[in-house]
Amino acid sequence: MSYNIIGIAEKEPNWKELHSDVFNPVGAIEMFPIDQGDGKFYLGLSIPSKNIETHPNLWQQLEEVINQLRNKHGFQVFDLYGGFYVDQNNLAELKKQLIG
Amino acid sequence: MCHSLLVLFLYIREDIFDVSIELGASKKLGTRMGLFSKKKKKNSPFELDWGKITPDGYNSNENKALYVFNHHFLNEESRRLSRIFAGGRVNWYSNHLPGNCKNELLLDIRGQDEVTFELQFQEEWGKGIKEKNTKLLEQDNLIVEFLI
Repeated sequence: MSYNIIGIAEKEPNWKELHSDVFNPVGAIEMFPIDQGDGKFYLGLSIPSKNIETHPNLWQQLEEVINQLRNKHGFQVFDLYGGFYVDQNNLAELKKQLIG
Repeated sequence: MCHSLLVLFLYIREDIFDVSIELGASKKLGTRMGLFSKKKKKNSPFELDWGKITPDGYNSNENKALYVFNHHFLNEESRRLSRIFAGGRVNWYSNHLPGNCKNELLLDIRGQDEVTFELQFQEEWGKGIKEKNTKLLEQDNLIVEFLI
């Protein structure tokens, strides 16, 4: 089981810059690009349940990734477990669902 | 002389090699010569290293990966984005798993009683994912099931 989030952008980001900003090879969050062929740009975020237990700074990592995607790279971020677009007002709800 | 003619021919007919899988050997030759490198997309996320992948389960005896989605299925936007996510995840992960890997998608809809249990919902999922993934469609190696 994993906790899944998806990022959506209308305008193509600079992927190399984005990759440099958000991807951590030893981090808790797995990432993958999605080619949907609808003119939009997607990035999948998946957090395996074992990583939720073993990465004490998981929330800090995720919050940083979400902020980078939303504020720097023009993404909307959607919490697939909660069923809502993430913004500053509901970050706490996402945190509660993810780590309690 | 022959070599020069071959190089000239490859350069002129680059368009043919670029769209033909059957002419792979010629394309490889051309790539080694640096003739086709200009065709490569510079800003592609699919050329980047996104690290390890962890399916929710993998059975090596059956060569089958399991993906469990305990998503929110009660609004259409979440269902739509869940389909996109699931297809993208299976597609990307398949590239890192053994060839011809079967993929089982398990949708956990427990506690979401309003979600339709009709076949249409299941077909919608399978179709939505497969139509963006020709490899999965051709091999018919995608199973969508529900945890009720």
